[in-house]
Amino acid sequence: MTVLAEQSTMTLPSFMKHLAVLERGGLIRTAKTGRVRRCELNRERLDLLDDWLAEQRRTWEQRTDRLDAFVTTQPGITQKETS
Amino acid sequence: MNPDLDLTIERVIRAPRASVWRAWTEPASFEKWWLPAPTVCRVERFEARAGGPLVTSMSEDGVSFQPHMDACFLLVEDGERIVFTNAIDSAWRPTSPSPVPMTAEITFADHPEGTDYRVIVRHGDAAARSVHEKLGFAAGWGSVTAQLAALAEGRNVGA
Repeated sequence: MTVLAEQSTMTLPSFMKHLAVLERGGLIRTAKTGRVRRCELNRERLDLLDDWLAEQRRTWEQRTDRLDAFVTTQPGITQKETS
Repeated sequence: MNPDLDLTIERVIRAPRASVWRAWTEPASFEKWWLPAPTVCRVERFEARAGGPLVTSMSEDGVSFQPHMDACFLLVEDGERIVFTNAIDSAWRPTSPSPVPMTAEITFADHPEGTDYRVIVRHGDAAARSVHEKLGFAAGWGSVTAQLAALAEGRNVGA
């Protein structure tokens, strides 16, 4: 934890407060071994923060796949084209 | 185009532009590809013109349907472009749709191999914010967290 704090411009107490908030929100986990407290990122929960756009992209990609499949496999729709 | 909020899809569809346009604008075709099987999509109201409704419902068993989308066309340029939004419903009432409010712009252009099909989906800041709220964070924590992640992943997190 002190290693992380050293790289930040915040003071150690302020840094600890921020980490506590992140821990309460489930974004990190901390565990104390002797005098050393280690932080671990909770990747799954972090991903929720920016994954909404990826989720929308998947929806639209798959929708485009289905449109593509629909127009290229429906003979009726291309026949109409020539009529 | 804001890469944090918007997404684009570009695809060459190997079918004539008029066919792709019809698949999009004829309700009987539209409902066949709009939702992934086995979910059944049913078009309730569909008028491809500026201000026209785009309302669909969906069903898992093909018998009982529930509302899916209540949106509104903003712009329809015959054979070329469709813009619609779910941030305004078919009665032009502002809404907060699930999962996120968006405006989708779909363009159709001729391509030597068929149709150059492009989609731009624009999301508001509110979309990202609602996700933050679900997680119980005030605005601003996302960037703090991202910085922490970068910091932590730059070296082993430890004592």
